[in-house]
Amino acid sequence: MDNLIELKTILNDSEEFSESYKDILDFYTENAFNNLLAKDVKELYSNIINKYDSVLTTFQREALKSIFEKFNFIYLNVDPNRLKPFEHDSTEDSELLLYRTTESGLINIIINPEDYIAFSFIPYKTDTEKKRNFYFIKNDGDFQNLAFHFFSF
Amino acid sequence: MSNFPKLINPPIKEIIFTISFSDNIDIEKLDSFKNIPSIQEDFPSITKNIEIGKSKDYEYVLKNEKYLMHPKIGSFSFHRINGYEDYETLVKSIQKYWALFIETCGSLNITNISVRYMNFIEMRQGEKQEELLNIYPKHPFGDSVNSSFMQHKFLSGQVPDLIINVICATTRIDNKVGLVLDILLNKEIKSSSDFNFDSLNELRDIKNDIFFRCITPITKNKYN
Repeated sequence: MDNLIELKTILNDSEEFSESYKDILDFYTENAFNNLLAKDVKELYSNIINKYDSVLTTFQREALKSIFEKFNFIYLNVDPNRLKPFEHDSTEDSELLLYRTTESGLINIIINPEDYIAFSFIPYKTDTEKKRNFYFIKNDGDFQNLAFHFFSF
Repeated sequence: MSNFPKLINPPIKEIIFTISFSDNIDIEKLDSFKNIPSIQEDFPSITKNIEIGKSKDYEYVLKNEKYLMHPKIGSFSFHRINGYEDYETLVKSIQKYWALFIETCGSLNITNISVRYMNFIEMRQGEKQEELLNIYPKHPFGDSVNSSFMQHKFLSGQVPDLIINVICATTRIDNKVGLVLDILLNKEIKSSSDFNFDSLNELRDIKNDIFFRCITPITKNKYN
């Protein structure tokens, strides 16, 4: 793994060839944390910021930064294996979406452009044990709890 | 310096020199480097900083039409982009900017230097990869292979503490199919006092030797 990270860092340093290397080795997976060559949380954060740069509001940038600080906290201080693959998208309503499709249901973090962040878990009908969960937090809310919920199963 | 053939149109696309150091330099000093008037004049473009709260993540990239400079905590990289330039000129340039860097950040404990030459060898219709590079393996898949990646990593037999990486990839750049030949020399500096810019010159012959051992006569003729 260390060798892969070292190799990936080397390849990514090039101005001219890094995009070609990414294409060849599929670095730009939308499925974050799923790629063995993903360097760390910081790089994933940078990729998301760069991808949605033109549409993100100040509120969304600050919220994303707070969320990734907690992802980084889990990665560095709790257990890097706790971070699991997730995907991201920007909706027609300009909400930034981080989401995970699990065996039990769909987990979302929704970052509204102006004033709230929402967590939701929508269980599949076949899973009778897991309960639906939905809550809002403000930008001074408990992001650590949100991060743990996002990777909870 | 050994005598290597000089190609008229070398296929070099990018050259990177990197000096690594162990010191945890002060963020304010790193920031002030980009505000030096001569740096601002030489490098009008600066990328945005991307941080996630920890100051150790602070970094930026300075760029102009010919060069890219990437100073950060732990290393200082100088790239030649958009064209070829001779080794002496590049070493003089990195020497100039490195002097400004340590003037701003203070004396640094150098741990590694690296030189990297990245080539793109265009493939003409019907040419096979193994006809262009000696290190490309024969394979049974015919012309259907449009993407490949291979890395050779080994110790230099000539210079102590020198690790060589040779990467070869088949890819498409600017709609041209070709082979990337990426030669990276990494030399550990055991004592900072051992470092001077002659150390970079020492690596020059080795990277030339590796390059000419990798290419076939067909490739040599292509760029002569």
